[in-house]
Amino acid sequence: LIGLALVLCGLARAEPVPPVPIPPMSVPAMPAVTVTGAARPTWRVLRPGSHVSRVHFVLDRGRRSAGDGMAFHLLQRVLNEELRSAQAPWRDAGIEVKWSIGAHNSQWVIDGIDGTSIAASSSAVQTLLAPRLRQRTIRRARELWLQDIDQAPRRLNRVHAAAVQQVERGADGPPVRRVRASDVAGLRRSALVAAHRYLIEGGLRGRVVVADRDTEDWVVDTMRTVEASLPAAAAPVASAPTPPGSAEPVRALVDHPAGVLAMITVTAPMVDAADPWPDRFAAAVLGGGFDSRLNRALREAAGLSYAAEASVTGGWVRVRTAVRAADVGRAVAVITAVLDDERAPTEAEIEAVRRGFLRAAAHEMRLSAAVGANFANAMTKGEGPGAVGDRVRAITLLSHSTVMDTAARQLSADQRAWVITGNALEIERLLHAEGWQATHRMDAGTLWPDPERE
Amino acid sequence: VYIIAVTVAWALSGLANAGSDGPLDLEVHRFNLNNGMDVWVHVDARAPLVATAMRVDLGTADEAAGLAGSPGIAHLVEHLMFTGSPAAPDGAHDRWIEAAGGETNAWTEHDATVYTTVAPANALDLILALEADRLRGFSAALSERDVEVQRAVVFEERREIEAAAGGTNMAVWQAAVFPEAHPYHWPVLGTVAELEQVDAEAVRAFVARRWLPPRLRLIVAGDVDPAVVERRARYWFSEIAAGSPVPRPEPTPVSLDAEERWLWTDPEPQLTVLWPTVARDHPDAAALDMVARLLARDGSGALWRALVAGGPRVERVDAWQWNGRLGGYLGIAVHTGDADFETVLARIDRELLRLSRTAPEVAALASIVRLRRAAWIRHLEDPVHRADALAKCGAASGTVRCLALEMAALRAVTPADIRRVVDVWLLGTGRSIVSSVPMDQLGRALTDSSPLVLP
Repeated sequence: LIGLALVLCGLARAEPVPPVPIPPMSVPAMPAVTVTGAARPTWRVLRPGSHVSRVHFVLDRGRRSAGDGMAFHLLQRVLNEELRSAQAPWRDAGIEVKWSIGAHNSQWVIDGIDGTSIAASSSAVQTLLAPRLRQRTIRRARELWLQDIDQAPRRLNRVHAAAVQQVERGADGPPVRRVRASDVAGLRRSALVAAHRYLIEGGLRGRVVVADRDTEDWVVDTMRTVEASLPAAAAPVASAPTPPGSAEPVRALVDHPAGVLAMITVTAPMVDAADPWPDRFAAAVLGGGFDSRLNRALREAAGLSYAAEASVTGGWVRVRTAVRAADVGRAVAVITAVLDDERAPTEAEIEAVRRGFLRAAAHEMRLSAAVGANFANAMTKGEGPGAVGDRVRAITLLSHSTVMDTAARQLSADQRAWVITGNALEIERLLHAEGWQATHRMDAGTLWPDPERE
Repeated sequence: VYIIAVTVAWALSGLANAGSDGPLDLEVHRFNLNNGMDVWVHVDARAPLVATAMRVDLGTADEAAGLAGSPGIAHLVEHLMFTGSPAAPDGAHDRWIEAAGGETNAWTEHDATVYTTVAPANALDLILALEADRLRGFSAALSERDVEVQRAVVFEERREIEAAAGGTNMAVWQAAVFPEAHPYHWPVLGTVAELEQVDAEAVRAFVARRWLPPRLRLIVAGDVDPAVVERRARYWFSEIAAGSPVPRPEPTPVSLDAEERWLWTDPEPQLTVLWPTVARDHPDAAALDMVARLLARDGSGALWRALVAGGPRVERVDAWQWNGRLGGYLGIAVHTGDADFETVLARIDRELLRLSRTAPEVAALASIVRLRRAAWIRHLEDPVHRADALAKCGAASGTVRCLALEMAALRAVTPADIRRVVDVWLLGTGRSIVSSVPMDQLGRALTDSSPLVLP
């Protein structure tokens, strides 16, 4: 009776679901940016009412600028441990400080609440400029890194990710290797001191200040300290070109006997590495939200997967999911059918993706951390502050025909590389029934040869 | 009665003393519908977005009070709520929200199920219509095929969680600290054997007297006009009958008389010590929360100093007070690395005794309050988090000033309170200890540990 009453209530409602069509959202307004200074510019983004104050100091060098990145990796671990465990006024004030060492640049991020408290951050900058790098902290960071290296072959997702990377590098590319435990054990304090000096000497490209007030009184001491200690960066940073992807129709089977799950990735080079937006739109139609084609087919229709995802990263378009090993044959068949589906993205699909990207941009602009990261990333690439707004324009203006053309060529059968990781014995039998033959076989041993035996 | 009276008096005094807490004192327009549904509106026009959180007082704990023998059904219902209705069939809920540029999410807790949406602000009416449509049309559209497919998806979710290092932690801790008869003993994901028995009729029966307006709190946060939200919410929800919800399970005190030791296998070695403590409304909840933060804080926490910086030099130590409607526990989890479990346990015991004998400094407590406040401010920048936080703390306190109240309760904790709750809740009772070890390192577990079997 209660159920019947509910149904009748529903019928009594005059207005149907869904209501009237929803007009496209207005393009989110980008925050205004004030630029001051020439050699080491400061980009100020004012966000009244946020109560959050952040400064990103963008340094011009990263771990790849100096060849071997191992010392930089350990340096990052040691520095952040030192910052996290410091007993200093800035920590008591709720300020968080982090040094992220990227491939070609690095960033100091000082994240505080209210301007008055971040004033304490000048003492945090002293740690960044002259870290103690105590032997005890270095030993501990080394131990944790070694444990991580030791555990990696047991983790299904780690083995799978390394195999995908290996396949993308192609037969002629450099092999993916585990870091040698003996190399980590051999890293000395002097190597970290040299790595730190190298990063500092590269100089400061600029600063991004995201704050809820329009004065810099709260951070002026910190800025002066940094300016006095770091030279201006010598030349604009050139964005690293995306390497052309290998286009081999590989089918790699990676043995990881433990567990009942199988991980599946299909990867292929982007259609246009110079402009990511057409690939991103086409990938989102495939595996963006719950209503994307892969999620409809794999999750909602077949119940084979908890989630499927298509993403565009580092020059590659990847489809990724995890299924029960016993279902791997069916999952491969469903994924193949979706990828081979010749129906071009419909206007409705493309507009849904566009609205989703615009909403995500508006959402990001609401978060101080994302605002700071977006502008700092533009700065590291040598772009102007307008680059963040350009992204929104690119989303708004991308044509249906470009997306349809990209979708027709994206993850095409002649470029598709499959990587499937799980219990190879069981998986191979199931895939054989689907007519799927492995061209390459790997396991945690061949993928990551035991470095101690080399 | 005494406990209730003390709780109410404490809550009221805390509220009176809360004062304004700036960014945490969110302005909320609140109204109730005639069917008992509670609606809160928080205006935040800094982005052209709307975020909603529909919190349903129906969680894993409600399974025990109703359809016996179907653990996991509340979580299965969460999945099924997206499959459709006669008015929004075949997954139209996600299709229409995504077509508007929005995104949905949902999760099941022991006390509640939460459905969130974030979308352009002009999609407000669509969100309200679809949330109301679940109440109207869910049962009518539900098919055996829907149940079969979503059950398979839930099993996949379970496999992914079990494959991840530490993925089963929450279920293991709940099973170790709450006895079998307690509603919090069940894992949210349920059991494979029992879920396989669930059919569409069982789901309809479970929902019919639980997924009802008196058990709903809808939070709308974003670039909205409260008057419009109220008008449209009344339009979509008012005619839905209140129904006759079944009573929810009553809080059941939990205590352990002795120490229980459990063995669990996990790729990541970890020693976890758990004490049954208090439910979220208890006057000691804030002090226990403070104890956990004092113990594990990086750089200055007693356990951090004793286990990470010195002593066995473990990877990491976490401590937390988990509060539910029906009970709670304080947990200390040590990611041991290669460290010996007995040594780690001895250090924990030593530091707890020290905390019982030597009160922490007021400055240390004040610092914890500042860190907590800073974390809240960062968290609340996201409109979805804002809606969810209001829904969650609203469920706990029933007042729109719940976040400020929570900070006030934390500020009111004194060094003497810390010593007292350590004595009463951690040193004066039994506890449950879980040795999680990789399959090939079973010998590292504490002596006399019995294999833990999840329900």
